[in-house]
Amino acid sequence: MSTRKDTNPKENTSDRHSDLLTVSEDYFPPLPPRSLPAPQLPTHLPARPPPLSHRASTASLAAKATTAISLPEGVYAQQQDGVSSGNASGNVTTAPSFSEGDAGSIRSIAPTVSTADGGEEGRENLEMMLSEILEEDREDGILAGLGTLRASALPRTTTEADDYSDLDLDSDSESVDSHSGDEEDAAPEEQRLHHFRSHRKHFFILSAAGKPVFSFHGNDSIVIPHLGAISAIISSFSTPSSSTTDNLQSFATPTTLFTVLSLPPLYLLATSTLPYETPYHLSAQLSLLHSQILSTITTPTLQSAFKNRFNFDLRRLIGGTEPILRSLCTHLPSSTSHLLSNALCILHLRASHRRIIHNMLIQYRAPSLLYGLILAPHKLVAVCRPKRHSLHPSDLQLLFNLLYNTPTFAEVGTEHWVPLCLPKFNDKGFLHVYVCFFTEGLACVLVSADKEAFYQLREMREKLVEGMKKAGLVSKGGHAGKDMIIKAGILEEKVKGYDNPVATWGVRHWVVKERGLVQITMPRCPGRMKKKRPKPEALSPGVDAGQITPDAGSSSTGSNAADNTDTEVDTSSRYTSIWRRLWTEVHTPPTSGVKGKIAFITIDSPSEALPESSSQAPQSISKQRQALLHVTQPYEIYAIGRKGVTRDQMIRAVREIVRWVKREEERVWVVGGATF
Amino acid sequence: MADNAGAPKPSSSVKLVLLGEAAVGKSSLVLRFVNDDFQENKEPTIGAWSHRPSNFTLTLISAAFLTQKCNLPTRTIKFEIWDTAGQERFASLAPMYYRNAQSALVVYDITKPSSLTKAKHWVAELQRQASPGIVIALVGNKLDLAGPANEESGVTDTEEEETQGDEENRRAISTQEAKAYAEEEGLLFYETSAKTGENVQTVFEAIANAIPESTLKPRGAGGLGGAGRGGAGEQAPVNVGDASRPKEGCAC
Repeated sequence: MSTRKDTNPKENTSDRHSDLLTVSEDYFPPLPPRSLPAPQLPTHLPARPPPLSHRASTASLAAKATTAISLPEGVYAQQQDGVSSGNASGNVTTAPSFSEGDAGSIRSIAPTVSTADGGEEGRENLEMMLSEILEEDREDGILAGLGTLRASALPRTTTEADDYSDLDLDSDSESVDSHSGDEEDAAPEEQRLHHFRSHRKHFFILSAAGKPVFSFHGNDSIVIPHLGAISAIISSFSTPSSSTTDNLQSFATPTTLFTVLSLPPLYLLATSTLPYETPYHLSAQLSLLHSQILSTITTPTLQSAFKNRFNFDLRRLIGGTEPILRSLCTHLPSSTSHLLSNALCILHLRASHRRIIHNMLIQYRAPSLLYGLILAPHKLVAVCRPKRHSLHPSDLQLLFNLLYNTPTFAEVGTEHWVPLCLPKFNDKGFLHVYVCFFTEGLACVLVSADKEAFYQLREMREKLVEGMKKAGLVSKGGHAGKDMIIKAGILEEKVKGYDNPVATWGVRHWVVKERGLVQITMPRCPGRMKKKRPKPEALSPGVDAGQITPDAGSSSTGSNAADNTDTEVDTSSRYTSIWRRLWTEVHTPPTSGVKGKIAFITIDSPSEALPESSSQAPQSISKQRQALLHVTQPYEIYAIGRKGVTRDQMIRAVREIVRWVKREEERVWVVGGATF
Repeated sequence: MADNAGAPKPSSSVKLVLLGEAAVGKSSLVLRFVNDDFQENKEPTIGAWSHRPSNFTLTLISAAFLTQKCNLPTRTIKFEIWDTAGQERFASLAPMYYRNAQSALVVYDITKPSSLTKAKHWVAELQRQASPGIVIALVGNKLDLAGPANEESGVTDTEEEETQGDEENRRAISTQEAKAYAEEEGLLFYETSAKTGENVQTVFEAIANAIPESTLKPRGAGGLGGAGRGGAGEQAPVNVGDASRPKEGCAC
């Protein structure tokens, strides 16, 4: 976005000349020693005024564990507990429906929110969720649903409507860029500010001195004043002796949740107006952003940069990685995998095929290989690792983001040699990563600690790909073509339509997480839906103008935004939003354990049809759909039912899913991978 | 070599490294050379990123390795190209890439004076640290922005505020200035446009021609690390089978 011009790292870095992964002395003219950073001057304020909640330290993602593709259950439970107690505090008000019990329905939520904005936005989201997820019923349900939601919408000013209403879960993230074209640059400051504030999610990273490091939205002139306020707030709650747990962690206004991650020399702040996002979720997102920064420069470099000069401008060092941070910001909120403790998504693959790949990874292993990975889009195919080392899920999450959310590597056949720090593996040094997409979507990622290992890893990749072709796992076709695919995996998914295997059991979509392995499996998101936003517009002629005002504005701006993008909206964020809500349901009350928990929420698709458009929306079809989270010892099962499926049926379906997962165990999970 | 008289032309591989400040167009040059392709707005222009997956920057955080053959009248040169990231923090990794390179392309942006300064630093470093016979070409890229007809209204150079004011001709470094410097240092010198393709092929051919026969190695030689670094696995083995083993004897 061109408004970023000012903050572009290149400009900041253009006059630099010395080389640095290690920041050399001449970088920093000697300065008089400073005893205490200004913002950290002890302010002897009472530590916690009522509206601010100090959260339990739940910041890290899958914090402690580092087994290959696994996380010990105990650790997991600890996290969960921490989270639960955190949520127990009643001060977080963004997601008013937390406390709603089983009977909570979408429709019943909105009116309970007293503040217009919160309710309105919640409704918008729900509306979007409905419109997308309930696509299967769109002939009747959606239209009716939209009509009702619209009709019951709380009144608000038109300007608000114009700005906010098009921002659903997805267009929130999408609007990040689509709204920020050149015209934004030309727009008057006030307008830009307004636009900046209209985003539903913000991420800020700043140095302890208040210097900007990264901001999801806005340019310097807009962001910097905010940073002043942010660092003032954060620092006024930090005492020199305070540990992380005593620092300000989260606070909320009626509409917005603020979560702070204070990891000196950096402060990270996330704000969200999305429903059901809790401090835990935001904190996990921030933590991953922090990891991304570390993966670029390592902890020692970060520390030493600020040690010598408190007001160091970190953008000089992380220059060029903004797109990576940005794509994290864009994709994290809707990432199922991230939501579930960065669990790895595994490519469903015949066990014998996976074994072949694992064997080849060992057989062709280059001497200096540390990890070898075969990846499919956002899914792990195979992994080999030393017996004593393991890959942490959040490190892998960073890798996936790097490979699949940024276009840097996507070119098939181009080989890359990337110095990368995997912070959970070792935040003090770089590993060197060989990346090659050997065919569309399939990447060979070979990690070594030896920076000279490129050629041996390259050779290993050649043998691997050759081997996979010989074994018939990858077609022998041309050099780059879509026909080259891992047969039993992607092929099954794309061609044979490995689809929702239990779709017929009344479940629309589901995710199963293996808690011990920290892996998830799910069918493809049903319905690669086009954006449904234009729908209401189509109806609008028939609908009372007074009713549709807010939504008409939204749909038009929405479709404008959609014009810029390719209209295809990833529905997964709708599901994520429901998973998040379920997760919150289960974890809201402080529980001693999560064993055997089950939570239901009911998603209503309201029946009252549009009064004037009865031709398109058959009247009085009112069926609810159930969403369910079942936590058992080995699994967490998230499921959304088809319309009209009862809870009993859902439970039966979930049993089927579990049975299916158990039967497919070897195909669905990667246990341990190949070790050497 | 001798025994393989039937082979069309002797073929040898030449390791080439691209160096230069960030966003001068290194990746674009390579892309033009390797694929004869150009991607508009290929800089990591921040906001546009996620909506233009087709626009990629090869070397945002990494070095990319590409190969391309270059046919000369008497022989075939296979370039093994290291396209390095221009970002400052990667500078310390550069020696790894240029250590055994037979040739280097030092790129600057003719609209951006600081980039020539940086290029001079690279040249100095190469002359000091790289292998003695290294062929260095100084390349001023973005020639398309020089002419009045080619005004780009900032599309390809959004990062340079100060140059955008210049309506007609955004050139900030004169050909004479750069050429004089190149001659002084004994460098090949070209001005190119990755966007139009102007002179791109020429640069690589010139380099290929300038590589002394004596330094040509059989294809695949020249590891990332020391050439001597022993393991058989080190060197690209697929290519080693190449029949020509012309230490110096290849036809000319």
